[in-house]
Amino acid sequence: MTNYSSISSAFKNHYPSLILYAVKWVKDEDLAKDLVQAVFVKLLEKSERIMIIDYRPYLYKSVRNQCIEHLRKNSPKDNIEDIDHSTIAYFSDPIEQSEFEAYVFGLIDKLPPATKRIFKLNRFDGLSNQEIADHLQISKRTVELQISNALKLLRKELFKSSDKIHNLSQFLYLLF
Amino acid sequence: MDNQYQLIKHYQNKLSENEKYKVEGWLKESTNNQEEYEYCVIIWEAAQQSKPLQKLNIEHDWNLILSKANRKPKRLNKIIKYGLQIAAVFLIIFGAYWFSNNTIYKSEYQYVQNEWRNKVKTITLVDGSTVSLNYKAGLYYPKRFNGHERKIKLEGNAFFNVARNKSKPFRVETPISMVQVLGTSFNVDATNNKTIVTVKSGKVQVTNKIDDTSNVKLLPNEQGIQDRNGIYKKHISTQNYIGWKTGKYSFENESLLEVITLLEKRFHFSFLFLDNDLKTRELTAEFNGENLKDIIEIIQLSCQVRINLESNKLTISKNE
Repeated sequence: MTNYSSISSAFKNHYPSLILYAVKWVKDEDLAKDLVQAVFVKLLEKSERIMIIDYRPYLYKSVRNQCIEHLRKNSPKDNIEDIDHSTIAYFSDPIEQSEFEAYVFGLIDKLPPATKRIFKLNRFDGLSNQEIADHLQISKRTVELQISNALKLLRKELFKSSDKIHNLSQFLYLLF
Repeated sequence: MDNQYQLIKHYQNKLSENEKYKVEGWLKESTNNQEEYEYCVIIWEAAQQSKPLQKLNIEHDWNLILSKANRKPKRLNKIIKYGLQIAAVFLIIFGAYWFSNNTIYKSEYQYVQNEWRNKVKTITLVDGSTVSLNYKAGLYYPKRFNGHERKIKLEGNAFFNVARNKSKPFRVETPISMVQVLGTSFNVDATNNKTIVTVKSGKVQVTNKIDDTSNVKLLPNEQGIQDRNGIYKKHISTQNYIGWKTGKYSFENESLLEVITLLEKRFHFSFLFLDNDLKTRELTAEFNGENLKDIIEIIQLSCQVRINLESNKLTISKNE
């Protein structure tokens, strides 16, 4: 396989954000995963015949096509152009949004264990602060402090990588 | 801001008027503060979006993709593809049939085993048939008999008294044989990789489950035996085969080996002949519910042997 290693590294770089991107189309995590994987299976199969210089646009376009193809097959009458990006208004481009989300996820994973656990329980599992406090047998005040701590650390990390900030800066003025 | 969570609460509109006023005052202080607020909100929102990535295993998924890409043949001939589809349909039908046949034992059947060494456990089935289980014998039986036959499964030694029902044959499965009857009483001994069926009344058919063709048809006082050598028939003249249940034995010039083997079914001991010649010594006696000690006494006297009983072990030796 000629460009096996470049496909492998493209997979490692883009896989999480590609899934998030696919979720916006098909609205199902497991299905999104399958569709992204199918794109890579296809890519590996024809890797000997094609040459890709920039993987990023190619992969997002392929995932988009894969999702649309899936939606057509399963609900021919649905309005397929309708991507859901209502959750974060700052991003005009769903690709950038997906990448940013995947990036934040990576940062969350690097938080100190206790902070990470509490932050995940709140954001990913949707528990209320009182529920987290009961569950971990700590005070509600500690839960709130830990969430605050997580936000501080994440913001600090975000500042470190200037290119991400650059992507973001244009959206920051929207609110004020 | 010391407590960034206050910003999120403000964003979610969850603050009291007083707190809200504080945060908004802080925001007005500088654009830096406004930026801080923005970042927190963006992180907050993005973190919720990351939910599907919680259990992502990149290494594992990459290997999965590799195996899928390698496994897929380049191009399948259309005819082969079509053939495979048909095969798949048959496979599913066959699989469903097999599954439904096999789940009977798991879902509707229950299992009972006799764990009492000195008692016979008798089960009455839903059709009125009774099964008497010897020590360690196990029975799989259903709460209801569905379908066109009454099917149960036996491990070990048991006596059956089957209620007559011509339209629903009664079937006993042992590990190696299939015993089929209409209505009768008979004994099935399925221990030590053998099946011995002895008929008291009625008609019984024993089929070899392994080759599925060889069988014997048995009438009262006939015995069908399946062992390593296959399946065959024997005439019997006594009711000793159900002695384990009745306690009644009638021996007439019976070999000592046969006597001990039959008594073992009732008293559950292990035995050892110290001298092989002793196995062919003959015994003529009648027993009717005696205990093992008394029976041993009688055998010792009439056969001129010594029998030692210790911790459930019989040792038979010459009488010096």
